[in-house]
Amino acid sequence: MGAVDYYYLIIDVSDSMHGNKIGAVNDAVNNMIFRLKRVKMAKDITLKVVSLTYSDEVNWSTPFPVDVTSFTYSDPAVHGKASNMGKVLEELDAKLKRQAEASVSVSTNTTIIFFTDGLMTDDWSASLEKIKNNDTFQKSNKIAVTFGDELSIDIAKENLSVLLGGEKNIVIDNFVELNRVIFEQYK
Amino acid sequence: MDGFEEILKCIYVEDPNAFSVPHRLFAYLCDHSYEDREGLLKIKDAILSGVCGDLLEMKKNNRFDFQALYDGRLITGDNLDEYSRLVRSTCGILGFEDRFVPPAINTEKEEKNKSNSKITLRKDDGEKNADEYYNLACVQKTAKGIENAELYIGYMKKASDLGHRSAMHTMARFLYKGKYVEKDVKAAIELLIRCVEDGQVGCLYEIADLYHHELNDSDKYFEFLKKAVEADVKEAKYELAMLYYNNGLPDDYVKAVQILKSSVEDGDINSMYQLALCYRFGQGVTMNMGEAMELLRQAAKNGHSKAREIVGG
Repeated sequence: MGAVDYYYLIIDVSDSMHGNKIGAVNDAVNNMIFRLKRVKMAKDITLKVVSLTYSDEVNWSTPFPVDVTSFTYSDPAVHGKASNMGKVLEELDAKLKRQAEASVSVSTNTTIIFFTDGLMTDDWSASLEKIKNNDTFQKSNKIAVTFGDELSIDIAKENLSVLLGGEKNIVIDNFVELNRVIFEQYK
Repeated sequence: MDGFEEILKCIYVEDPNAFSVPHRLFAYLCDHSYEDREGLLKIKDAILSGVCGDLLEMKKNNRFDFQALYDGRLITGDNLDEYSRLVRSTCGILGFEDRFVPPAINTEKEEKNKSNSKITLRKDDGEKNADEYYNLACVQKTAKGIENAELYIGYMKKASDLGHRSAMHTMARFLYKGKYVEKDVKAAIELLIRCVEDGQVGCLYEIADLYHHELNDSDKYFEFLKKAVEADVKEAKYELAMLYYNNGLPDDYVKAVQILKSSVEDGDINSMYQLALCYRFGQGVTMNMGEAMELLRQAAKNGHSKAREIVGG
């Protein structure tokens, strides 16, 4: 069996993502899934996708990552007056551990994409320290997509640099760049 | 920034620790009042300058120089007014009643208040007013969570019974979530109705939601959704419009269009898209392709993905 590429889409649906922001994220995700499905058909690669929406609570689209052809994305709406990144990282840590256990005999590539305005309401430092010890998280390709909004961009850059361990993979307002980062490997 | 103090109070009740981390406090404010973008831009610098952190630090050290804060001596630039306003709001939230009294007197009173609250925590004499019970409940909230859940919920309930606005709403949420107390959706609805009578019309939408999702009572759901729209609760408009729209009768289409128009004025992108469809197919309104396209462009510009697929961009 060949390698399996896992995609974790972490989507901020707190109220500060209202309007243009969640609309742009939904567009980007729909576009990305469409392109991943085409990649799968053209190259016969196993691509598995799961999404997590978070605000004051977190919700996975499915309990486990599913094949991209069965993945459905139903344009989430914003709701919730908090953005709990700590809870996200705890959930992600558990999911990545399960993934590692379930795929010991195959090689995997994991990509984690955070779609967020970068504003976080909780103290997520302890959860970050914990997930940093997760082998899959360490090796994964981590990308953050955020917005050049003067209201949040400075805070977003600061928070996301800490989350990703540097500014290199922070994509600001540029979904073409996001697609380049993701799809270059399949050319 | 009308109602700004109420928002800060909500945040303080939910997560008092956020007040010592300006980024977190600002993130909460963005989630709570995302529609007031101008206001958020104005207060951003003041928040990030650490006004709330300053106050907590002062409280910790028993060194209250409110006048310096109020005068804006701890901040420079164009945001003095906003900063001062924040200080005034925040002082109230943190329980500094004599907020602008000279430091020495203020410190003495704070010490006195502290010892009083200790006595009250041990012995509840039942003579307090709603605000005092609410403040006692808030005392139980610490950076590490609720210190004593029994006391917290006891005080919160008393404040709620005495008609404290925030306490009634908080208790209603606990009741329908089953947090700290046994889940009782009907009791939660009763409390939310009291909140509505007290002027918190936004609760009408919460009541409608409870009837819909918790009690499966579509008649009541419709009734309260309608009341919410009549009270101009923005969140309820699209939902009610879609109830009418999905009913599919000519009169219902007309009602749906009326509500959608009002919701479009509030800037709701889903309503823009839906109203465009009404114009496109002549449902409840005279068919008008120009109007439909204009609404679709507006929705697409504001991020509606399906509208973007249609108009491009």
